[in-house]
Amino acid sequence: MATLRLENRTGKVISLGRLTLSMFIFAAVFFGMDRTPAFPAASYRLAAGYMALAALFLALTWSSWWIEHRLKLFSHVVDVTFFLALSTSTGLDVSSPFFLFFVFLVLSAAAKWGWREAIATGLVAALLFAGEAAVELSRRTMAAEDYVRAIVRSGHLLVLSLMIAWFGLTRLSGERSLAIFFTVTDSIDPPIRQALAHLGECLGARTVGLVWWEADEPWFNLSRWTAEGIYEVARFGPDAVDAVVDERLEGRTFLFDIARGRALTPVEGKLQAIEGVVPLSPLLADRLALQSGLATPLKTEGMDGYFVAGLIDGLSWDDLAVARRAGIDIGRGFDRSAVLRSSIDSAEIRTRLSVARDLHDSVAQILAGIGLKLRAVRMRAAGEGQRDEELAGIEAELVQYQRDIHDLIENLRGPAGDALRVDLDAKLSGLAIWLQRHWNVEVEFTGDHLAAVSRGLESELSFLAREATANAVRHGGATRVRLSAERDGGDVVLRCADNGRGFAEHGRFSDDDLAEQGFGPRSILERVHYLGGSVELVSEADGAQVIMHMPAGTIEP
Amino acid sequence: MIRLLIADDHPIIASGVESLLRGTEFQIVRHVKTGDAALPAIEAENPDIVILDERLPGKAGLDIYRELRAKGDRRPVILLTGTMPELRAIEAVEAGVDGFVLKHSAPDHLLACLEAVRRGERWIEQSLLQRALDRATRQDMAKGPFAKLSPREQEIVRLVGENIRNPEIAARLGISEGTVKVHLHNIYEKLGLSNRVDLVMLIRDGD
Repeated sequence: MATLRLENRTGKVISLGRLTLSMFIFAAVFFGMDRTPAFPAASYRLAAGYMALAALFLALTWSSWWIEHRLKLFSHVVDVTFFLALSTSTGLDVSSPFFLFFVFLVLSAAAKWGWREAIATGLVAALLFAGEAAVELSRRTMAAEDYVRAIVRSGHLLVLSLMIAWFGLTRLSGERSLAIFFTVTDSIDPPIRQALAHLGECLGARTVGLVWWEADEPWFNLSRWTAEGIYEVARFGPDAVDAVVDERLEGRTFLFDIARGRALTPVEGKLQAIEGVVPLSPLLADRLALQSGLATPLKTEGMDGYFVAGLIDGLSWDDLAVARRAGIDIGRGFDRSAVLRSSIDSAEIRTRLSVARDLHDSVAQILAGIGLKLRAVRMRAAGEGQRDEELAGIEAELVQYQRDIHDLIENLRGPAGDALRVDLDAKLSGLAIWLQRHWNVEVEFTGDHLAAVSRGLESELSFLAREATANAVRHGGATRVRLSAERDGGDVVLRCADNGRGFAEHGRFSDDDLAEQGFGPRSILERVHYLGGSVELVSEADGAQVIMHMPAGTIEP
Repeated sequence: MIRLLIADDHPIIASGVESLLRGTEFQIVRHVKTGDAALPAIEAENPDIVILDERLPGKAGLDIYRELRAKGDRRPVILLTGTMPELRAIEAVEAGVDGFVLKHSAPDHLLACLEAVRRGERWIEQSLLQRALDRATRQDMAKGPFAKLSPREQEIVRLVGENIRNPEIAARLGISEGTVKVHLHNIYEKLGLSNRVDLVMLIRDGD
């Protein structure tokens, strides 16, 4: 249901103002208030006709930015004509309250088009009025002193109404700031969801999307936000989208109506109506579930795109300025966010390298040295059966720790785990064998042919598997642990099921439940949340299952 | 008796190696802790084999090896190192070091390496050899993962590997930027990649 929203709805305010004024004028004529019109019957019909036209304009333009734009000039001509006709019918009396309608003409011209058009309207109306008065003067139906009074009075009104218009335009040009300050998070970069919500709020839009692309990547990415809290992302190959917007609308902010093939866009300060156009890619419009709305470009250092907003009550041309400004502000916000992200990444890399160096120079060297000495002892103890076996066990453990440290150092020195080249199944299978030996419990791993995940993700999943197994054995007293990793849409789901005594509370708990009740495997929760994932927990008296959802990348449609 | 000189800034490594070699025909005659001290010590001690850590204060192990060879010193040199960037490790192998042993596998491999080097053979850690082989395969576009790409796609991969941006690739190949994106999309699909960083990583294998 449409709501009455007048902020940034100039066209509607003018239509409402016109209708209200026409009702006052009709009432004044009908009840013979103030002075009696020179032509009572004509004035009555004129006022009634104008009131009807004003009501029709309001009805036609209330929910159509296209008709509003198309009727802009026509309604203005009607207003000026009515003013002159009304002035004539009231005997060109400048002291008549009807004469003040002149102010409406100038102000509505200023609001519709701008400063120059307001001056032109004022001058045209004043000149026509003066012309009519001159005719009356020549017919001697008007006294010379009344003529001078009419000229002076209309001059005063022209200047005063232009000043009001000027103040209004000056205030408008100071546009309220729509600046947005994004929170830099670990999982959202750039902060698109925040931007879409912000734009939705600025425009009163219930659906906002962003289609964006990077110069060196082939994908078109689409993010969709709705006021109901839905947020979706999708990715398309270059073949899926011929053109995001029509070439006549490239780089422009515009209103669009796909079904009627219409668009309205400012060109050099004037609104230009374009017909017979496919304003927005049909695929994108379909995925956004929008047939009409507005679009504004996004331009940043790293990405380009268009914001598309729809389901806006009383969408009007005023929204173009708001959207354009918001698009620019969001672009700057993205750039600021990218700089902050880069600083954080840089600090993280420095920390990683520092930790890697420390590990290499301390723990890794000590373990290597001990390994060499241990082998020397083993060589001397050769043939001493039991002792040799024990030493071999210790050495095997030591070698495994050395490999772990070696992998950790490599990961810390690596490129933040972006390369898709680690066989997750193989890594976790190996880890399961090691965990079995380390904890002296049965550990089994089931894979899902995940042969190529990022090194960073594999490292995180290995940590989580180690932690979950340690929890199961140490806190749950488990003797059997089942690990599994599978792909679920854009997530990798790691499960750790055990036969222990479960957590302190029994039942099934979602991520929100765990946060609300403040229990669960703390280090796992912290790690998974830090990486933008979520945790589910099933805890029973005969075992527990920790289900960790980790984002693996953008979801492909 | 085979006389060894070891350059490593971690005393525990030197003492570990010494323990391992005790009772063998190999003997450490000198231990230095910096890269700068290595060359004068080699000159002074004239060891039969030199064992160098890569990450030494001052000069790096590989740089010391190169200086030795530049001076015409042909005595065997073994790199005994903890972790080493892959490209640097391959560089060491290509430079001709006689032995290459990772510290965490030294208990199993150091003696075998010393024996081989003493016989005049080269002994390189198997895992490193495999990585070098994989890398050589990857660099040959007609083999490895890039074999499944069309010649045009392989050409684009090569240009991406040279850090050339899409507009420049389009200009060089005389095609539109949009066509470059279509090729890139196909490349990603065929190789199971999701972005350019992954592709560059695959080309360079993490270096």
